[in-house]
Amino acid sequence: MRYRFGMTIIFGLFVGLSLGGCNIFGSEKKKPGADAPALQAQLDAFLNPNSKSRISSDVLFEVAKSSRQASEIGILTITRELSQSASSTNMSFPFETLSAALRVDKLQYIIRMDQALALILYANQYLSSTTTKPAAGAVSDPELKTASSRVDLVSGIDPCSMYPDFVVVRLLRVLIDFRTRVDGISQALHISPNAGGFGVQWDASVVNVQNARAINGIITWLADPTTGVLATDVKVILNPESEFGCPSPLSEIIDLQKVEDYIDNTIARSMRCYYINTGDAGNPGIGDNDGDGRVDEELLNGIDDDHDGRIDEDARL
Amino acid sequence: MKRLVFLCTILVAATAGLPTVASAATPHSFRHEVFALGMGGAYTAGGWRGSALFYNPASLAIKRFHLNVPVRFEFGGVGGIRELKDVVDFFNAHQDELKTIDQLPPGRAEELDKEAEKLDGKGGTIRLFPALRLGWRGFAIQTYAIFDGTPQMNSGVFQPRLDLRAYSDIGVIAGYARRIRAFGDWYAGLSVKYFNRWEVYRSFSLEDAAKTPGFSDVVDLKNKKAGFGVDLGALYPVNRKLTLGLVAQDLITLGGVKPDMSLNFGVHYALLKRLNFVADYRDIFNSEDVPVPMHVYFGGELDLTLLRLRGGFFQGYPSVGVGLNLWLIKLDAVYYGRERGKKIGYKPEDNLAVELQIGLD
Repeated sequence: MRYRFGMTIIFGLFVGLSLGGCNIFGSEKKKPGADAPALQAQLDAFLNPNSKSRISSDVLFEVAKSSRQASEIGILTITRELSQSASSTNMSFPFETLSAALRVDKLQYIIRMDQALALILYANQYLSSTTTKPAAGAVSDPELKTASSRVDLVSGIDPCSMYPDFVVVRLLRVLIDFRTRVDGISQALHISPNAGGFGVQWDASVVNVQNARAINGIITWLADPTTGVLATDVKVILNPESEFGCPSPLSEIIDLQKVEDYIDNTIARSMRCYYINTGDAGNPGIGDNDGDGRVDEELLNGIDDDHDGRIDEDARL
Repeated sequence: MKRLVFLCTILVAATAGLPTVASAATPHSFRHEVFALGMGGAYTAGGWRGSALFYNPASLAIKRFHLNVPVRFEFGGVGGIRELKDVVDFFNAHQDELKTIDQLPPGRAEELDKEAEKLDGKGGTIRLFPALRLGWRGFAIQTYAIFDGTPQMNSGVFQPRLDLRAYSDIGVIAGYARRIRAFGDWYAGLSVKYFNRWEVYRSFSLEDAAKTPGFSDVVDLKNKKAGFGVDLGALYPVNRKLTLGLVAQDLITLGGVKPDMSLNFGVHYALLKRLNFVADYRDIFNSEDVPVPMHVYFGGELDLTLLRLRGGFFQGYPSVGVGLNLWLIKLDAVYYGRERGKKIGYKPEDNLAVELQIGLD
């Protein structure tokens, strides 16, 4: 009897230990984005020009998601950044508060996210197109379109439901690419909110003709109405029907008209106000860039010379 | 003991030589028993209670006549039973801030991001396991169904999503076992199962999920696969207290569902007639490429006739069970944890299960 009682106590202790709740072997929390390096390596191998391998949309989705997690880019932070308007408080250019090095780091992740989501959507277009298959060289993302024929669209994810994510990623990629190019000229340059949009904020120490020419070139790269990347890489994807075979409008989450307005006005038109008249023949800074009826009314000096609340817009050296 | 090693060697050699065309992610058509879940999910070498047909067909050699209908319902969640509610609570608590997100200070948006990211992978589980069992010494047949659904939060790329993964098996399993007196005194058994499987994987954006998709949007009843599997098992009573078990689960698979073969080893130690301990090491060949603790299951049962108390560890997570024995009616409840990720702690899932069984056991 004594023996049995002892065994009952042992069993009771055993059950009590069970109620403790934790894992007896120890456990580790999975860090968000921990899979990103391995998944990105899969994407790189797939995109190798000599590759004939296939990849599933499940893996591509995980590449995009884990890259976002590894970059520590928050969903709500980005939503906040890209929903800025003239009435917004605390308006700021995406990732402006970060260091140049961190912007470069995040851009690498954003590029992978862009590639992965583009492949899913182009694959949908490839499969839904019954007449002309997309051909390399005919579009802005020729390599991705060609590679999309090797993407297996699994049934679980509706490719078109990825479209809002892709629009955000593509816009972010272009803006951060622009911002890192500005860093490349001088890290003393900043992008600041300015009358419903953004503008380049100059420090007196970096005001010179070479930097002014470089800024003009980057603004053209971004915001030229026909050749700028906002027009060729972003606005072109705002038609989901023709680009990806997705119904339009397909979402109440993303208002494509508002996105277009953000691109045209908050970014492109406002940035074109910051072309600088460098004195070179035919330079883009010549003329009334900000459309206020005056020409070259600012000096490039970091001061609001015309007292209109904006600094260095429509400036001359 | 040498004879057991010899038998094990034959079984392992036979299984190692078989070709398998399978996916590591394909779940076995396996119906856990509620009493075994209370003992950490271990029962490969057990046989003193209930049906062990899925755990080890050799147990039929020591099983008496039984005819019963058990129905088990389970619910739970990844990260805790309350986690699915946490997802809803988050959106309810912050809906005003989310509506005017462009007005939020950057720091506040980052705080909310960190809270939202914690919800990634969280969700619920709902499972149902009805069966009809008939058997007597040496032979048993069982029709069974498994309904396993796991809706989960997915933080997505920039758009949160709701993932729904589910599968359902409806099938029949029959087993035969007998005593073997060659190479010692032991038991051998074989079971054959045939089932149809429906699988669902849909990832909804929250916008689509809010539109409350209908049953036909999620499940395609025509999209079924048939599966066929053979288990081979052995029980070796070392002495009156100690029994060893070895099973090649899904040794042979045919049809459209081909899980990897799993070789499971188990120990049963009857400390007293009413106090039993069991331990399993499942999937010795590690077909799913997971760390050692995820193969380990062990626990015990104290039988007080009317009441049965159970405890154990399922992959290291605690399990506690209690059973009420009213002869033709048995009512069991169990809490158990399990790991759904690739490592311990990645996706811990808590579950509560209740089972009502009517009939002779």
